[in-house]
Amino acid sequence: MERTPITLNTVIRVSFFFTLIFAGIAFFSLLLGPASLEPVKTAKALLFGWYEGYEKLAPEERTILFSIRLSRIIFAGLVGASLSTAGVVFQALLRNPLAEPYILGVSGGAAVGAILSIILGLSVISLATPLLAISGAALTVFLVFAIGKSKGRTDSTTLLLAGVIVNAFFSAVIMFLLSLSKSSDLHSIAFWLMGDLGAANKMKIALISSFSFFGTGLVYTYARSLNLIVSGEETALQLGIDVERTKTILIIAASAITGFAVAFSGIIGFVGLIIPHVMRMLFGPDHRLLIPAAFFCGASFLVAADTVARTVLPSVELPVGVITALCGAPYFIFLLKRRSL
Amino acid sequence: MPVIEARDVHFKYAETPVLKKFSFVSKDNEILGIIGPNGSGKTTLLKIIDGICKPQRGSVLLNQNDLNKMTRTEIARKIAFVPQDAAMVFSFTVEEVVMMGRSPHISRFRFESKKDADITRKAMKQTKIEQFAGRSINELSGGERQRVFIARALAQEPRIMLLDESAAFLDINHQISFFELLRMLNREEGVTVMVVTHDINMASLYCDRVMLLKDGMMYGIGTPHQVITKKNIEEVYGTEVLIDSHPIEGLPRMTLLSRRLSD
Repeated sequence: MERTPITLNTVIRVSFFFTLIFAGIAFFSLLLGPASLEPVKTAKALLFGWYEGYEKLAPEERTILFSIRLSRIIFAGLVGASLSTAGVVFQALLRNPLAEPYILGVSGGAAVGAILSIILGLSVISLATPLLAISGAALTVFLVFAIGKSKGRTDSTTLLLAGVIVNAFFSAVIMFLLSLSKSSDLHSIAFWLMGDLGAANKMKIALISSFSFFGTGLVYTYARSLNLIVSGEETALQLGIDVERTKTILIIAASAITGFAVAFSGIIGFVGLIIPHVMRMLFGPDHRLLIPAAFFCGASFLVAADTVARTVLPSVELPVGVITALCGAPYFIFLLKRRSL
Repeated sequence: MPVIEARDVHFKYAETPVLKKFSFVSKDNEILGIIGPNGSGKTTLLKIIDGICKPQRGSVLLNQNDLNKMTRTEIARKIAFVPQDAAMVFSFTVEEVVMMGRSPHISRFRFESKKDADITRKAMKQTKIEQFAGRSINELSGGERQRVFIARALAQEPRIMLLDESAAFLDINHQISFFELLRMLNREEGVTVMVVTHDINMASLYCDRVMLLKDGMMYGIGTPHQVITKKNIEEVYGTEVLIDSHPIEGLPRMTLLSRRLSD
């Protein structure tokens, strides 16, 4: 397939297109749920809600729309965007198409932190679970980084192996903690481990959006450097990139983006692996287009998956990670069979 | 004015010394051929000159500035490096790869300008790869890919071009085109060229000076007539050769002898 180089114009057009898709999916998702909302009224409430549309939706409908569904959708969108952006960065830095945001042990570290908070009964305190999770994630990344770094250089293969080993170690710790925990805690632990977008609130949205937008913006200024780094670290050096510095900044940025997403939503798999791949198949490997495309598409994908998770079975809400993996894996295999990476 | 100057450079990988007591001064606007057996330190020398390998002792100066005190971008605006071959994990197109050569000249926050696109086009034209522009680099043959990397180096608009056995994958027609291109760049655009090659006859035909390396030490440097002699080549490579003159150009010409004949 022939392709011409990416221009700013292409980036703007693709971003605009995916924003529209996101808006469409989000609107559709707002209508669905145990109490379905009427589309026209909902649209009016969303657009003019603060001055004239108020009386047209019943008060309880307004609560459902604004306090429950809208905040959940925004939250899901931010988590999806964060995970798939971080996935793009890790695949590029490690030059490995199997890399995903959790590859350096962020998820394992966060899980241990979160489970500890639940077992110790701290989860009733607001933000205690995310705080412990983010600390666990940060500690893990520093640990993996320390293992992967030697003589001032980070070797991608060593980093990858360090991540795999640390993740394996943490799954043992998680199993150990699970075997100690009370059966009453098991349900919330299981939900956290499979990803849960249910308890969204303004505070969480504010925190995660600042990290998601700021982190993605920072990463985007290195988009061309990433193109060079995926072409080989020596090539990047020869073409004027300070590879060590760039890698360090990007690993910290991508880990922070992932860490905050995981801390608030639990471990949602597959978004960070599959979305970057699909985007690369559609648009090629240029990160100046790949990053915004993955950002918006990741958001849309997770909102769609979460909508399915909360509506597919009456009265039972599934962990969203179940849906992402159930839809993601077969689709991924389909794509793999159709076209090579 | 010397372009590149190496002063008493020592370099080792882990515990194995690769270059020892290495000093040399390049001449402005020359084509320097670097020859020597496998493992004599040719590639490492190029990487040291590009600042990618840092010598444990000694220093390298680029236009009298210490390479260690320059940023990667500053170096990349002056020096381009053409690698032997490089596999790509992700499929960039030929044009995208060539345009990467513009990277040291563009701010991190900008897209390529019209001027960058023009320079990219020109580089692809000079290396005759325009017809592959939109194709994935991974679909090309080794020789074609090599020309893409040369085009990327051209797009960098360097003052010095380092080439690491870049002609090794090319057929004779493309080998001649390759060396003609180097000569054109050198004569018309004043680019200093340092080319590592295994082809001693090509080095003789196209290089102003030839450097002969043996076990990480400089064995000799000078004009092809001074360096490519029967004694030098036999001592460095350990195989018997015949040296006579190129029938037209009069430059040294090497002929290999099979072991059966030389016994």
